[in-house]
Amino acid sequence: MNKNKFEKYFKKYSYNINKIVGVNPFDFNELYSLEDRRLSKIRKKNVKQEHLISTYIPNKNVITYEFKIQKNLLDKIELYDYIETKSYEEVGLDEAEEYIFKYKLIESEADTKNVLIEVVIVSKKELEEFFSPIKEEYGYLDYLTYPGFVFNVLYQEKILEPQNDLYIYFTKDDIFITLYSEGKFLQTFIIPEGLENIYDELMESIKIKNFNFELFMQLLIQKGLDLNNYNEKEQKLFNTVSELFSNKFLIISNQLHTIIRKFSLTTIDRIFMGTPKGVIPGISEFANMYLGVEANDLKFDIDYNPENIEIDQILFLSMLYASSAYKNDNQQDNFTIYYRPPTFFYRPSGQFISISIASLLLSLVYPTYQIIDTYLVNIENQELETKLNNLKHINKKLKNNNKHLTKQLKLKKEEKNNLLKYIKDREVIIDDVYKEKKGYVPKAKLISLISKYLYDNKVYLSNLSYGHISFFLQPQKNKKINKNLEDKSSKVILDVYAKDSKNITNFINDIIESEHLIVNTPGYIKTNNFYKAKIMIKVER
Amino acid sequence: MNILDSLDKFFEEQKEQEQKLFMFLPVLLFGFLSYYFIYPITNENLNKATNSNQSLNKEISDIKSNNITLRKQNAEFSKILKVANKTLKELNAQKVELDTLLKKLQFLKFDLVKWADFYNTIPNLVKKHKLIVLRLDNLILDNNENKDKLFQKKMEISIHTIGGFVKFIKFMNEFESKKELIKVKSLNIKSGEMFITLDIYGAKL
Repeated sequence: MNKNKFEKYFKKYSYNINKIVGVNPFDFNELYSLEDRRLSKIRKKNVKQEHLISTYIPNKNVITYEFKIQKNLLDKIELYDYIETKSYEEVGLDEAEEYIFKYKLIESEADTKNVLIEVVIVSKKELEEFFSPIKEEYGYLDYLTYPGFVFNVLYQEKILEPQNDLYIYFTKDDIFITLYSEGKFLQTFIIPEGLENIYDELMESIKIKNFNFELFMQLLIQKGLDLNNYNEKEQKLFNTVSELFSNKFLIISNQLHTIIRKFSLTTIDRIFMGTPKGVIPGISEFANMYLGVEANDLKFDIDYNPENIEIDQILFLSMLYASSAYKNDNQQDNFTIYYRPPTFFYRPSGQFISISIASLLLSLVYPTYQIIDTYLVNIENQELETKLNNLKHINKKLKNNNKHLTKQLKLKKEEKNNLLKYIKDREVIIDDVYKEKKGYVPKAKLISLISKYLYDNKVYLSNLSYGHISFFLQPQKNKKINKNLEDKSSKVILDVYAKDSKNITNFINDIIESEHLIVNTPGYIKTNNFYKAKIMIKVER
Repeated sequence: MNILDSLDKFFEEQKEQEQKLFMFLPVLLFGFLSYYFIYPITNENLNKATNSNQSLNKEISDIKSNNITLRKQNAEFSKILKVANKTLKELNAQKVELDTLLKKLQFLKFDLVKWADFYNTIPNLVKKHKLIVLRLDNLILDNNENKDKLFQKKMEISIHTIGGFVKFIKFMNEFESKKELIKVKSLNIKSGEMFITLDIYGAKL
């Protein structure tokens, strides 16, 4: 199923040769469908692309022309061009107009040197004018045939065995007669006095109130030419109708004899007669009477038409013929000017559009890839931005924390330094106090001690000094001061005198013997019965 | 006639070579349009996005690295802070200890009140030891040179007195026996006259 669907797009044409739609050429709204050997009537809206649309050309739009040509010339000439030229010359076609020519070569046993060419000519302009509604409605007309050719399908489809067959078809406008010999088309001739002509003649003979052509056709199909179908009151009507048909059959008979002679036929094997509305009852006897052969019903849709739908037999046969032509891929007898365009990929416009779209798509492949890639990268970027923002947030927190910690550390360091300084300062104070207190020798006590030694040794004090006083060990009279011997530390300088020098020396000895005291003197001198000395005492630290 | 039919008709009117040329035209046209008009835009956008991606990745890598460094640093700082807090705790304990100790040395604190008190005691002591003061000089040191030194000499008092050697020694002993640190800076005793200069020390507590 899917495969078929897929294949549908790659078929050259969208039609299905088993699905034919026939359009009544006299009423384009009357449509028939032949699908799988089943005939049905359909509406326009049901016509699909898969349907092959077919119809036939009404006889009034067709010009037939025949001529003979030597068989040996056939290989030497371009036959179509020859026919075209000859037709324009001999049929009197309008040279300004374009025509479509289809032809059949008819060989005769009686004339072996020549061949008869039966030409069917249709004006392209007339076709356009006549069938343009179909073109407008469906876009195309797949198969347009000439009614004379459609009987051929009866032999192709083996509905009939090939014999000498005569097909007589009574239409409104004419009597359409086609002769086939052994399955081959021989000739078509048209008697332009159709059923409407018979109706007119009937109405001239008998005055029947409200008896229109439609009622006449009903009469023909229901009662026809069979006396048994008429009551006594209708005898006159039967007689008149019979007479009128007898006239027509006489004309047909004359024409037929001419043709039989023309084609050197020994006999007509079968005659088929009918009308677009059906078969006329009793007409077979008429045929037998005038043509010498009993007639068959020209009705070939029986096997295809179980619902017995009323259909123009020429239209039905044209549908069959179209189907057969497409099956056999033979468009030789197709008069259509509105060919179905190939499917999209097979028509130049489709190919152009396909190439354009493919080119467009191909040209957009890389940009599209880039757009998708850009889109994906942008999505990734958004995620990265979110991640980055989170990280920044964390970073900010860490930095703040870091800053806070640094500040804390700084404060702690300052606090520590302050504390250390505070402690150091206090330690220094304590240390200094301790040093100063402990290292200080009370001078009152020192002087008391010195006083005691002075008293004990009978040494008299003339002057006592304490402080940072210079003291020179060298005799002063030299006046040479040796800086190295200068002692500027705190000391007690005593100017003493005694009657005896021993007193002074004893005093010095007492000092020396005292702990922590250092004594020094440059000596003593005797002046006026007293010995005088300058003594320096220092506390040893 | 729809556009497809018109196109079909157009192609049918062309020669085979022209048909091929026309069929090839869209390839050239769309190729050209894409290459010259679309590709530069999409390529630029992709480049922008890619560059942005690289930049973001680098930034993320940098910031990650920075975060790791900061974490390490913060951990280190926290550790140091912990140690610092411990040290500060110890130092504070030490400070408390010192403060307790220094409270006992409050008497060493020197200020104008202390100076005034001290100055007032001199006449009493003189009187007590029956000395006669001929001159009393007082000098409060500004300590500019050793501003930071917390314990130093604060005041210098010079006393010129008469009245006996022993009395003077006792008088001097009174000063030296005080809690405060009072040191004899210089002394001169001669012919019944006594000159003494005392250094009075004080502390900034």
